[in-house]
Amino acid sequence: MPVVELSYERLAWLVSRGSSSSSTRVSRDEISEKLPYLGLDIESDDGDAVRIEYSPNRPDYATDVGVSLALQGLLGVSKGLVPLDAGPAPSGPDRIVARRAVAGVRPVITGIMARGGALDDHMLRQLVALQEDLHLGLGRGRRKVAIGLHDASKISGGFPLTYTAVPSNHRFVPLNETKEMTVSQIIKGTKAGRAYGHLVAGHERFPVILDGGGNTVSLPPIINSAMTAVTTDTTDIFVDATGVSRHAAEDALAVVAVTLRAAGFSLGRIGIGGGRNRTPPLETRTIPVSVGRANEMLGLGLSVSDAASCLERCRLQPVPQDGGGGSGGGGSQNGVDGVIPCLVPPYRPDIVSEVDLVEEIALGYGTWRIRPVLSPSKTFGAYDAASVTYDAIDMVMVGMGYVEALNPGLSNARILYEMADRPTPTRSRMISAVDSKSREHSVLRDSILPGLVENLSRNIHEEYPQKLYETGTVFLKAGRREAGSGKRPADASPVSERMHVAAIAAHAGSGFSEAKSVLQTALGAVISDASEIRTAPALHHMFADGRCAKVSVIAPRAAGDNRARGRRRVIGYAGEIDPAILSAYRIRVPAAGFEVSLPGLPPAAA
Amino acid sequence: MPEMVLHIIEKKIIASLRSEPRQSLDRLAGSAGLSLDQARRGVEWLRHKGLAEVSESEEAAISLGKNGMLLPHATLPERLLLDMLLKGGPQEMSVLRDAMGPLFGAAMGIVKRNGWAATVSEKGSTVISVAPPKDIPGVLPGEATLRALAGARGGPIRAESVDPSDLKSLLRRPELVTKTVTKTKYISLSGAARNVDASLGEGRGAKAGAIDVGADVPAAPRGRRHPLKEVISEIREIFVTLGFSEVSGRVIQPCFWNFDALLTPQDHPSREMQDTFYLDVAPGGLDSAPAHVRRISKAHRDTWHQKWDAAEAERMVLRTHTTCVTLRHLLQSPDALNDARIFSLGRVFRNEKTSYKHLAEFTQVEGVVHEAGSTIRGLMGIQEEFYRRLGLPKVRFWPTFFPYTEPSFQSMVYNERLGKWVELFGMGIFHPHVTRGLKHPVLAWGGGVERIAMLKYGVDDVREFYANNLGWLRAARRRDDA
Repeated sequence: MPVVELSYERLAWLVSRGSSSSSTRVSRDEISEKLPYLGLDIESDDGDAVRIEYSPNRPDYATDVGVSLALQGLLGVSKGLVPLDAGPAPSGPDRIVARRAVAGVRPVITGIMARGGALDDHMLRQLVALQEDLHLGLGRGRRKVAIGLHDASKISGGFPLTYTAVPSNHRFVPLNETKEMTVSQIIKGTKAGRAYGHLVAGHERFPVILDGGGNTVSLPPIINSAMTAVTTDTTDIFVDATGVSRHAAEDALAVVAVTLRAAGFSLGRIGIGGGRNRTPPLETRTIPVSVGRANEMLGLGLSVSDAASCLERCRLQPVPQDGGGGSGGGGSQNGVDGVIPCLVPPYRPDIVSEVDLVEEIALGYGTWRIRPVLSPSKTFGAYDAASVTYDAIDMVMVGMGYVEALNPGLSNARILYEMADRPTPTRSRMISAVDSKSREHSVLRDSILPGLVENLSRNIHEEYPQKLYETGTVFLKAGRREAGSGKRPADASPVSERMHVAAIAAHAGSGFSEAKSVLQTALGAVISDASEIRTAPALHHMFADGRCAKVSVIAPRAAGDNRARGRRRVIGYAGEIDPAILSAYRIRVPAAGFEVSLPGLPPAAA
Repeated sequence: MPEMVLHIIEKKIIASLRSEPRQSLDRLAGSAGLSLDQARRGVEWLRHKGLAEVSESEEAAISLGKNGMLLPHATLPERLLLDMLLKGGPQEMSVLRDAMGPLFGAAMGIVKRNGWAATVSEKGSTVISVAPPKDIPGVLPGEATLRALAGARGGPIRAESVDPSDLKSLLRRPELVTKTVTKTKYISLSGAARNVDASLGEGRGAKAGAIDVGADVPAAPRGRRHPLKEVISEIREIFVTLGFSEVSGRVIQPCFWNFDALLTPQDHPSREMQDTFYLDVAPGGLDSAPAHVRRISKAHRDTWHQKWDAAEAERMVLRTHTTCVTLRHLLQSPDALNDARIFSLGRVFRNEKTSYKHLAEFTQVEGVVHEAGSTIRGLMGIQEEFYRRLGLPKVRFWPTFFPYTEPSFQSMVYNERLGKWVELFGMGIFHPHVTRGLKHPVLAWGGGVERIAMLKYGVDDVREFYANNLGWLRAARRRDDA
């Protein structure tokens, strides 16, 4: 989640600025107490500096001006809509025209003017951070939207601007460079080019914004021109947003617009046309919210006017209703089932439907005021069958002096196969995670025992005897004949997930007899007749030849199976761990153990 | 002083030390007729009782070094040179060098330094002549030690058996002889042991079979459940007592259930490979009813203004949360439409680099309530009760954002040890698109179990829970201030 560092001092000033009476001055403590109730996590708090983490769905919190608008509402300093005052759409000719050439590359453009403001270093840095945030979130890495900020007074050729596409030998001086470069040079030779060039690669022509004199203003989504660079001397800003989604471009533009407006700029619309592009409406939209629904969900008893006031504190605007009984606190009786049509500003694309407004009501009400209530349960609790089985195994293993280990299910080929001396399954059998960030977690385990042997190797300095066990899920590609099961699992999933238990004992006197004896006692906890457990000679990569057995039990009969008894099936192996494996791990004491799938259990649910 | 009670091992040791007052452990074991381990334990007990003393003494041994072994008949190079000069008179230096090979340089240096020989250079040749025999010691420094070593086939011999200054002159020379120091522990009786009755016989009446009940004993090995599993069990227990039924489900899910059914947009960053583990297995279908798929597909188009791709939804992932399990139960189990309180506990996966606070695989718990009259206040009430039963009494709630609940909150609990509020479970009401078809809005909450276990066990590095470090597993204890 994005993090931004703000100053309490500046926040207090920004918040108070919205107040009608000059005496209102909010304190640092008031701000620090309320920030979390806006959904902003305080990461650290050091003197005047406060680092807050905000949700990616609220890019308007990327700057202190944005946060201050919300604080004004929650503190009651200033409520209701933040007016954008962008003025009417100009009736004259289009000032930005999109050409057909961009249709197949990056068809959408929108923009706005912000005039008469002043930027200090701090605000400039915040605007860049906001821009980056929009690029990452709404912009999906600039693919869907990229924002450009320009010093309008430096657009030497003036308006109208043309949004078109040019060949790769088109030249201009990009931002942070001093010499003219061609588009191909920019894509290969600049940091931005290498990072975002792929978004427009594969086309013969590249999108550019040209001014009235044919000068390049921007090469979206890669880089602006040096000509229009915004500095602390800039007073008039032209904002462009280009991309592949008009929704996303207009949403992002609105967030920048409200931020600049709150930073002291006045907004002016620009006529936009060509293709499917339009002058951005920057309009509020109306979403109705039922106060009854809100009360039902939150467990509160708000009147219509209470709820309306909560919405106002979130900088939203309930529309007054003609003759509604809800005006004033006394109208609550009539208002409980009332529906409030609520105006939502364009910079809040996160509000889509009624439940989003219910959340805003909770926020405006003040989360700290919502009192928990415990109502008795009408249902009885129960354990999952798998938990009951695992619990039974735990009891008996712990009783025999075993310590439980926990290994990750997403293990790796080194532990599972290489060190365990098991043949690496063919690619079609092994279940690998794609592009894991750590090699340690790259292959799903099909067996628990290799992990336990590895655990012994990490503990050679600890006191012996060492006895470890583990229960858990192992993963097998469907179609694989798991030991003894003899048939493809019936479920649709391409992977079969099974419950296994494995144990290992390492000490001077460990051996097959101990392993078998522990196995018998363990299984005795989960099957009805432990005397049915049989061990027959077998070969297994992890166990020494002649000291290994396959383990079989009588499987419970399926429903409708009328045979006198179920079929015998192999559920796993027991034996003495191959000394070669132990010595590869530098384990100096012999070890013996077993691994079996837990029988007599219903298959895992979906 | 109360009557001292002695174990038979201790008695044997005392008896042996009375006949030979100072013995090494090895010797003592032999002389007392005990195994080495018994002797070691017995000495420890006696020491604990103040009856035995253990002193350490160093013993130095010397043996011929690498260069020493190369000397012919263990003879010093300067002796070889002097012998040649005494026998053959003054000689050309080159002749001597050829005769002695690599030993010549060292030999020449020593005889010149001691004035046993002199060199005269004229007309480009250097002639060496020897001093009168009376000026040359009969036994050169180091020679006595070297002879002793030669007699012992190169050693080792005790360093004490040779003259220290003679030895010193050899030790100065590179790898001629080596000295190794070994420490040996010697056991002797203390003054207090003088009057102790160590007789092996019947002793005095009833005390004969008595043992020292105050003595230290070795720790008995214990089996135990993993500390994290203990916390998991405790959480399971709390849920069941609060009326919740446990459900379990698959670890591997189609994207549809992990993401799409929760309305996570198909181009959402969390779905990218750097955050989610995709598996290289063939898809197995969406595993859902066609009507549900149609509803979800429409909700995606309406909410996110973009196409919804069924093939993308079929890709198989390691679940990133347990919500897919609880949600599938709500929507797919035969009693789906009934009121239900259910919970699920299980491993979830994130493609993250592991660190002291992040794991790629961890355990999540999630609870849901599907019943009439569910409210956010009720949800907060369940949270408070849950944390109270876990021993975490200070709880508060902050608003937050989750993609599939609306409204959403997170619970914060105060931790005394850390002195701060710690973020625990996220919670909210499932978005209506997610639970369309059910009778009531559904409350949901959940989060990582390891975080709670970290508070309970005072663990600051979450990786400890999966490191299987036996020392920690055997000793880990709960803290009272969690």
